Amino acid sequence: MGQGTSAYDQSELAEFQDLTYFTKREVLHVHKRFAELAPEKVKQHGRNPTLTKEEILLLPELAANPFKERILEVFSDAGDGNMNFEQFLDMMSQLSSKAPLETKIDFAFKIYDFNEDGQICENDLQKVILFLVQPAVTGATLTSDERNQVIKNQKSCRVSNKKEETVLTEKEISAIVRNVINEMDMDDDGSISYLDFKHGMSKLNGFEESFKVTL
Amino acid sequence: MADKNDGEDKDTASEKKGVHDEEEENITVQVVASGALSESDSDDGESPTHAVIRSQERTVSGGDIRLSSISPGAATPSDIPIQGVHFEDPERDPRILTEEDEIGDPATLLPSRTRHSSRRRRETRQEVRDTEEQPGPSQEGDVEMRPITGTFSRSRSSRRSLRDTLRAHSRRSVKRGPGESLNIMERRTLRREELNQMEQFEIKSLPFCTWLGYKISLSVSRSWQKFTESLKDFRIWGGHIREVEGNLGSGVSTYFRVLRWLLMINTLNLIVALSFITAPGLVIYYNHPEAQTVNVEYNADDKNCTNPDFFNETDTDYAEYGNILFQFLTGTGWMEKRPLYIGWYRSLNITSNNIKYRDSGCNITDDTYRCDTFKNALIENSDEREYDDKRFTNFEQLLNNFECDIQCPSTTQERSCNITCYKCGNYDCSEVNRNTAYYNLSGDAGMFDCYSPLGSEDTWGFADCQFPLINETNELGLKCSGCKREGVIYNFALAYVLVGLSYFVLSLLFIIKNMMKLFKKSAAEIVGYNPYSELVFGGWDYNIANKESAILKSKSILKSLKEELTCDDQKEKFVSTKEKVLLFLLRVFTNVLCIGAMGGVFYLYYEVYEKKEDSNPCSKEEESALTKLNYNEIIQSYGPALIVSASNVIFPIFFEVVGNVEMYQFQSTRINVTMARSFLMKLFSVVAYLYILYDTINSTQNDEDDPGKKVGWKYNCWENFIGSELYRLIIIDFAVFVVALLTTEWLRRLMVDHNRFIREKMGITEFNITKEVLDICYKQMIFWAALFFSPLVSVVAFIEIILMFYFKKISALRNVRPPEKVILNSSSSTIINIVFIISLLVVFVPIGFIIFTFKPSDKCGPFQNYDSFIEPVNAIIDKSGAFKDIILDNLKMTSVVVVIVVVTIIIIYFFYSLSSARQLTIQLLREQIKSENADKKFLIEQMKNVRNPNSSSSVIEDKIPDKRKEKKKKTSSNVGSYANPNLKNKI
Repeated sequence: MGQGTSAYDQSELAEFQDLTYFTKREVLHVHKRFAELAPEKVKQHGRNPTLTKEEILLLPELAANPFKERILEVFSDAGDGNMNFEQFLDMMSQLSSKAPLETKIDFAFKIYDFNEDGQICENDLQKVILFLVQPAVTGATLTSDERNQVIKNQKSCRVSNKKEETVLTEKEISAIVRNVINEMDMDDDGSISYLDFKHGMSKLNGFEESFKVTL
Repeated sequence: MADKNDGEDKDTASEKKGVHDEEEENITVQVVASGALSESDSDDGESPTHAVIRSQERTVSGGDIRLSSISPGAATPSDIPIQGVHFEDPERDPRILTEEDEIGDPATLLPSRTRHSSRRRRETRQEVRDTEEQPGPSQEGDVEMRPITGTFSRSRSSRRSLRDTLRAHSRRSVKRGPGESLNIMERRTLRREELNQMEQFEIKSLPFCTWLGYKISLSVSRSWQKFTESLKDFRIWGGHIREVEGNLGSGVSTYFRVLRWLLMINTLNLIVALSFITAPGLVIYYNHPEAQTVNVEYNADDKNCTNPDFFNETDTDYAEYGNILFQFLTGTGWMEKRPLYIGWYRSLNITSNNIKYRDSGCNITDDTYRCDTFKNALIENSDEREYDDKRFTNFEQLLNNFECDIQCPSTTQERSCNITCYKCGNYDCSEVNRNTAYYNLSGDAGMFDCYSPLGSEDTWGFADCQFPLINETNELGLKCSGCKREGVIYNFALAYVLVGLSYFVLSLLFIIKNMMKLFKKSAAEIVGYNPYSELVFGGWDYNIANKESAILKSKSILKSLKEELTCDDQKEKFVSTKEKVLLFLLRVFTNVLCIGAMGGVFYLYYEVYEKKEDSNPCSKEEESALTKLNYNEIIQSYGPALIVSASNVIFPIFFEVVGNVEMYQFQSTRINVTMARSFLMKLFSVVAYLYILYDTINSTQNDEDDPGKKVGWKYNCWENFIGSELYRLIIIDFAVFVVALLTTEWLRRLMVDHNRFIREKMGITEFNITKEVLDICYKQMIFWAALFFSPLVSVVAFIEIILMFYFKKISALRNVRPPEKVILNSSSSTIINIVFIISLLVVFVPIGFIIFTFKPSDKCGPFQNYDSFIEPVNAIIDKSGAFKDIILDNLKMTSVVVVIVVVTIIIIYFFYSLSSARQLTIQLLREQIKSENADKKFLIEQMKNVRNPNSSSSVIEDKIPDKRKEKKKKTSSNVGSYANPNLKNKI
């Protein structure tokens, strides 16, 4: 809010304050972080440039997340992960600690619903589990291409590591998937519907705490 | 008008552009007519048929909206009313246009944004129109009215509600329904619409008063919101905690949150202690030199001294710096002559020094009494009663005892006082004769004031007179004492004891408040334990912003998943009787070992204390001067504290080893048992320490002649003694903390960095959250215990917690890896709270016992003149008659402690049972859902069967999973049985 330094004036900030869960100061902070990701673009295009997925993923808060691309895909309007500042702000707002649990659950469901059919089915769950253990298996979070590769041939991911303890076998994964569905599936249709998910997550310990990204 | 057209052109142009771009983007937007925004009053010949229809079918894919387009020709005349909604109003146009201008400002905005916003804007506007239109096509006037009334209600409710709805719109549900799940641009336009409507409405149609009231309420609510939000922003250490969270996950950050929370509790204590004890204490001390001399006096005739230096008034003894430091660290010597401890404070009731008798000579007009002389007296200290002789010449009264009260009016003009006398026999004081005499005092002099030990009376009141007083010349006198109070009255002893209790009450309330919040939140959460979904869906910590932590987290999830799988296998594992017996014996043995070890440590404390007492240098003159730094003494004075602190470091490790030996089936059981043991150990060590202190001060009591009376404390100022011992424990504990931090974290890190073998074998320290949290809990227990005896411990605690936070944070970011299994998450905050409540109560029991029953030492502190610490409170209750009957019986008793404890337990139990009741309900509902679902499925199958008569019903029966059938029979057999025959009949 210093003179001349802030990209948005008070009325615009008030608008953002109304539209998101952020205060004005936080909006400016988010904008600062956003501008830092691609300074030359900001220079070129002004304060609201559209950054590519790769540029946004430079953000350390997102970079370590195995679901980072899913998050961006879910949140970008086009579904390709590219977003401008306002979309970015919207995303961060819904990931912030102030967002209500319901919003977070909605968001989480969309992230985990890989094939976007409104149901988390066994395939989706397998992917979630693979994404979760993947940093442990490969020692790093992968780029999108690598990940696609991993998902295409799931076996290679696990075979590549020799130690038995650090891998999940096919059998184990399916056992976990079965257990999760057993726990979450209230209506017994073999997959986790949105309602199932919402119900399960609302009583999950610490979900609200852990499902947040603070810039 | 030209202006308007200008804007309109721009408007349409941008829209055309928008449509064009959208086509390029392959996003088909349903907005068709370029004139969608054109109002019917515009003259540019745009046809009203350019209105728009929007179909609501939106397909969702990845959060994107795809709208199907409809050709312009599809617009039907029936759409015309849409335009009429509220755009007909010519007043609106300029505003809309300026708004558009603002959006389209080329200097500040990108073309892409213009396009986007215009598109969104249009959509939303239509959406607004749609929703407003939905009640059905109606007359234009009608339609025009509706938004305004809508706006009225909207503008009445504060802007907050608008914000809430807008934020609610940000929810992106799976199936994007109309009105819901707007993205930010859509919400923006919606907001602008609303605000514009509100503004317009305000200007146009409100009476001035209403408008003014609305404006005022709006600004008030706005500034209030600003205030609360700025409060939310102001959270100390937020950035640090986030940093820890990012690097080590939310589990470790729990520890730092607890630290922050403790800082708040201790800040509260600090404020209370400084403002109600230390500040008034200092005022008394420096305003009343006589108080200082009184203070020294009580040390003069000391026989059983503890701290020789204490009695030495001159400060030359600790001129040496080493000595000063030593005494600072041990809390003895000059420290004891500072406000650190209770003994320093004075029980002066009155902070003003205008306590005096005025010069007075008086004449008694009444025949009976005559005041001959009235002695001039000037008394500085109210504690000392000085009696003035007032002589009366009535010899008839000579043989009777009288007690007289003199009452003087509060106005200074009237100089007459009321004297009421009571006749008293020998020891039997009954009112026999009540004479009222006027006691005129001439001039300024001769004011009779009251002395009230508690200072709660008015400035004028009763004088304490005794009658008769017979001197050598057989004259009868009236013996009076009194004082005039001016200025602020501050009953220090009362304040001290109340503050001493308030530390506990405030902390308890603080914890309970926190706990209520958690209970409310987690009442439903406690329900079921779903390990798998917890790990899969809630396992990832989105806070993690560090690659290494991400890998570690992932590994821990993997490990936990594996563990769960093996746990499932193990659950069915058969344990033979022999094994069971062996395990049982083993565990009995280990438990005995733990208890034995604790007993051993207790014995060790005791022994060291005995030694310390034996070698007390008190009686020896040559050692009493602490001019030289005596290393022996350092060890002696620190010995017990060192043992307590060291045992608190060593024992948790010992318990961990024991827990490993015990062969628990599940890791979580082992961790819980270890945690419970460590906690018990910490409680025990604090209580044992307090007990030994009690034992020490109490040890010579037996020698006293009068065993019934608790006067024979070994120490003249035993409160100071306890305070200094606890202070020492705090200092030692902090030193041990620093040493442990340096060795177990820093040193290990250095070793790991430089030695490959260690790196592979041990790795860097794992952050053990439970252990660390219990550790700060133990520290807080000592703070609580020490606060009553040394108010400034609150400052020490405040500083120590800040230091701990930074030390721990720096070390955690460098030298520590996150725990593999997070036992403490947000739900276990409840457990942390319970742990803190238990420790608070455990500390309160001995301290409360001291406050309620012990006799304060009569040579120091504000309670010199009282029989117990609670007496000032009792006295004030006695004074205030109204409360007397109600409270007296209850409050005087020590049962207060019990009541507090019981109430707390009841509250906790209430919430616990509430949540468990809910748990039961939820379980039942869950069963019901499942069974109803099974029924539904069955019915559907049956329906299929009806359509396809070939398949027999028995086949269908088989299709239902067995387990469902059982459940169905169990839970809702009536539904099932009723469903079956019905359908079968149909077949």
